[in-house]
Amino acid sequence: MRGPGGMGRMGTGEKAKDFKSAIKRLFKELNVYKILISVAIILAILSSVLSILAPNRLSDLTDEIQKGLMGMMDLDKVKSIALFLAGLYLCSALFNYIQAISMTHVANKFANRLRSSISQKINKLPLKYFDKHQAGDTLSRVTNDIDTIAQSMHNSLASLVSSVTLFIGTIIMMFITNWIMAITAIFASLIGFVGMIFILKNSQKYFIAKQEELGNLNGHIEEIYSGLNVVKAYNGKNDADKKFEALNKQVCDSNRRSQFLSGLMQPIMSFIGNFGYVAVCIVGALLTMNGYISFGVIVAFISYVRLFTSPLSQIAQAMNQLQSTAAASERVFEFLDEEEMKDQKDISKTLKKEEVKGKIEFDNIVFKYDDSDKPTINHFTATALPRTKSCNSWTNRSRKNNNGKSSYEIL
Amino acid sequence: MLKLFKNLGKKEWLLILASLILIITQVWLDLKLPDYMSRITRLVQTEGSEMSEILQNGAYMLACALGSLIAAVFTGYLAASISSSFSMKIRSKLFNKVEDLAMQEVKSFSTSSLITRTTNDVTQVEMLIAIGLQLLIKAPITAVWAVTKILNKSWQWSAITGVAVVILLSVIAALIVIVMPRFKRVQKLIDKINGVTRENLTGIRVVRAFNAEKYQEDKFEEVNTALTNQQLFNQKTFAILQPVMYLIMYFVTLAIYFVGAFIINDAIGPDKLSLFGDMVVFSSYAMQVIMSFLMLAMIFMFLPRADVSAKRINEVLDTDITIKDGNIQDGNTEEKGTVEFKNVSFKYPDADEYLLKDISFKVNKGETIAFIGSTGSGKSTLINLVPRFYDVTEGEVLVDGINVKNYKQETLMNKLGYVPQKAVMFDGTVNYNVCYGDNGKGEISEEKAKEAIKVAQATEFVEKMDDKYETHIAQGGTNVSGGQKQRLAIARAIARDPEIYIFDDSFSALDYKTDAVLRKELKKYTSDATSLIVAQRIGTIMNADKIVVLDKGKIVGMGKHKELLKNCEIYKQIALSQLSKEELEDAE
Repeated sequence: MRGPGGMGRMGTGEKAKDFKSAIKRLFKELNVYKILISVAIILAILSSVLSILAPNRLSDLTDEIQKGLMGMMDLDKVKSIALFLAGLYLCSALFNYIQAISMTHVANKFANRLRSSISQKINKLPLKYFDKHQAGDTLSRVTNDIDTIAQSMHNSLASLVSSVTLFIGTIIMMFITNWIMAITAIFASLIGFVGMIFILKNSQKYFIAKQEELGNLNGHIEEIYSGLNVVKAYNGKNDADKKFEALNKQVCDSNRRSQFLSGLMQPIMSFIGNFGYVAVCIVGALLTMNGYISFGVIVAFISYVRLFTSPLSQIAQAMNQLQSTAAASERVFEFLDEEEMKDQKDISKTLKKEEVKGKIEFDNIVFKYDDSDKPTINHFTATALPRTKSCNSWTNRSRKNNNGKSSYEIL
Repeated sequence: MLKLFKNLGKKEWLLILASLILIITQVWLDLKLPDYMSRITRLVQTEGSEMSEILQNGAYMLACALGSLIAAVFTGYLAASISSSFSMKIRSKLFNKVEDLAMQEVKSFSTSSLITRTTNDVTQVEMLIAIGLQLLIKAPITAVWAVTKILNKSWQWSAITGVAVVILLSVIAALIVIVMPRFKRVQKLIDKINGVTRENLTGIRVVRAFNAEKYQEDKFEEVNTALTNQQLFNQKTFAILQPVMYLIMYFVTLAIYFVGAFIINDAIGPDKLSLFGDMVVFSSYAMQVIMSFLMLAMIFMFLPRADVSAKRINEVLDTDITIKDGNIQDGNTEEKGTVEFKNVSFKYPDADEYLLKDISFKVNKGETIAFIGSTGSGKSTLINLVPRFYDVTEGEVLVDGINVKNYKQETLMNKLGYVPQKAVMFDGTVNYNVCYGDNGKGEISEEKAKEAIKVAQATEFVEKMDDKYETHIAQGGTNVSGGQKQRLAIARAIARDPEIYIFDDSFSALDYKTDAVLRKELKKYTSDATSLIVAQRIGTIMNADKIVVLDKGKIVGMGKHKELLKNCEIYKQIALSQLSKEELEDAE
């Protein structure tokens, strides 16, 4: 549960062109925050270790109670174990919380800095950049992309660390506690995960298809709405409706598929949990009856199975999110790396106000846009003296479209 | 929200009923699991119990889990079907509604808002149904069922679970109260940051020319800081949820075991064993109860968002269509090519001020009438009354001698060739764009389209394009220039072969020369068609049969160019501001 923002984004990973270098760059930029990030990572590991240790103590507690079934219960020992566990849980939660807020801090400060850099960058770029790029494109970098980066940083980075710790830690603990039970638990979970990976792989293409078809539909809606007067005046409604219905149907179909597939994860996860439980119980019962293990071990393993299955899906999710982070940061850095205008600091001549009276000279100017071969302005020489309306004389002289009137003024 | 659900069809309700049954099955199986668990526990505990019995119970438990999985898969499929077909229906309804809205309603919603309502808002509601519907049904059933199962086992354990649920819910409630309104503020700040950046981007030339970079950066920084601080507060507050959630769940198990130890210690003999089994089962039921309350809380978190979306959708669906269709379907009217305004006044429904007041004039077949006036004089509004983008407040507009309100809209539109101020291009080829729509005379032939393009002075650039007439025009016409778009839009009107042309400032993107040639060719080509022209340039309209000068919604002069120059002060001012004395005299 990550607040209302989290619901909309579900595993529709946008792929980065170069995942590795994008992530590398991201971490380089994050270097400033390395102290806070290290603190967060250490706390994440600590918190995970604590929650792994807990089942072991819980199993001790169960054993104590069980002893009491037959004879006298050592209530003092029960109390001390319970107290210890309570402390353990509290510490784990506290570490978790500190870790979360420090990552939040890093993520938001980082996002803030990126936004500022983009805003400053806008003012340093040559104008030709804006001739070639749409405003909407830059805008989406300022908001959407940076948002994605911030979101996944405070969601996935820490959870990736703690999940991996949890995963490895649980395996170690399980083997320490009892190796037969450990193998049982891992094996039972693995069967389920094979199925899940299969579904994940197959669902990816439906998600992409859904995104594409939704894009088509939205494009059509945008087109018709913004040209509604023409649609009305030309009786284009039938044509528009026909297209709309076809696109709408497609979106509905792919929506159903992707929605269904993404809905499968949860039940499969809980089935894996149950399956692991049964396997652990049966093998555990066998071992208990033969006197190999105590009942407390079963209780511990019931917790281990739960601990073991949850990080795997979290890792899968975090990896997915990392993909879209890479794509987003690639786009942001691409913008920040755009070639800037020549620095104007080395131009020492500043204009003096008294001398400037509005005289502008054009001395044999040739100008062309980057991607056209024909110069827009060819060998033009003119002097605009103060108080003569040069703009007017241009419009009089040049009464044809596209002859570069506005290009002059920009120069 | 509920109102929107009225759009669910019979089929959808049946599917919902089916998923309800499936969900109940699922919950029943889920809650049976701990029963088998407890049996297995007891068997393991009891000396000398048969291994086969344990295996049997294990198999039952697995069967339950598998059954629950299958039920969940089917429910998931049903939910996906319901939500996707529901959203399809709503989207289609919205689309059709918007198509029927009058332009003034479109304006009051704003086009971009209508787009988000049809796309984003529908998706929001769809998500709620896809995920929320299942949870909404499942969570309460699980909660109630699980509660009844554990209620009479031990009041101490029940009390622990109850306290846990209360704490959990109050934490969530507190978070909602504190953070929710602030989420809205974040949305506003994001809009603001978008606004500042957009301003900087679109006005980049002005920013540079006036050395306002620093000013823009400061402005951006201010919003940026506000946004970051707000986000930090929200997320830091929200970060408390996860640790608290886990803490509560762990503590419940711990507390149940701890208290259980005392209960068992106090019990006598064989009771101890059954109590021990109960304890293990209870802790897993307690988990179910807490989880289902958590699910319920989750729904309440994203319910408000979907609710806002539903309201926005309903707002559109509930808008009355003010432009009612007439019933004259036969375009073969006695009079042809005439437009007459009789004492027409117009204001927006809620406004006090009239945009047009007491306008009367008439044009006959083959004549050209032009409207000129300063910005805001109402000339565009006036011309938009003919195709009924707006309806008059008082008076009447007659086309071919019949009130426009009496025509079926299609019939009226078939008489008109309308070219808007801002040329509109659709995603498709040049030919598709020129032959766009339906003029009631069958499909427009390619020759006809070619001819229209020629008259509109567009042949030269169209022939230069890669695929000529089959060149693809991108959405919004981003791959053609403003002047080219305008010429294609004019060609579209010509290809339609209308009785009456309406040019709403359609020549402004053209240069003087193209403008003049185009109008000359057009006059030749459509000698018997009537033209209504709104223009900014005197040059465009100088030769019109009749010129109407508007000022603040009133007619202040009407006549030919020369007459107006003599006796209409406003016209003279406009003329003098654009043309030199010599040029004016040249025209005479």
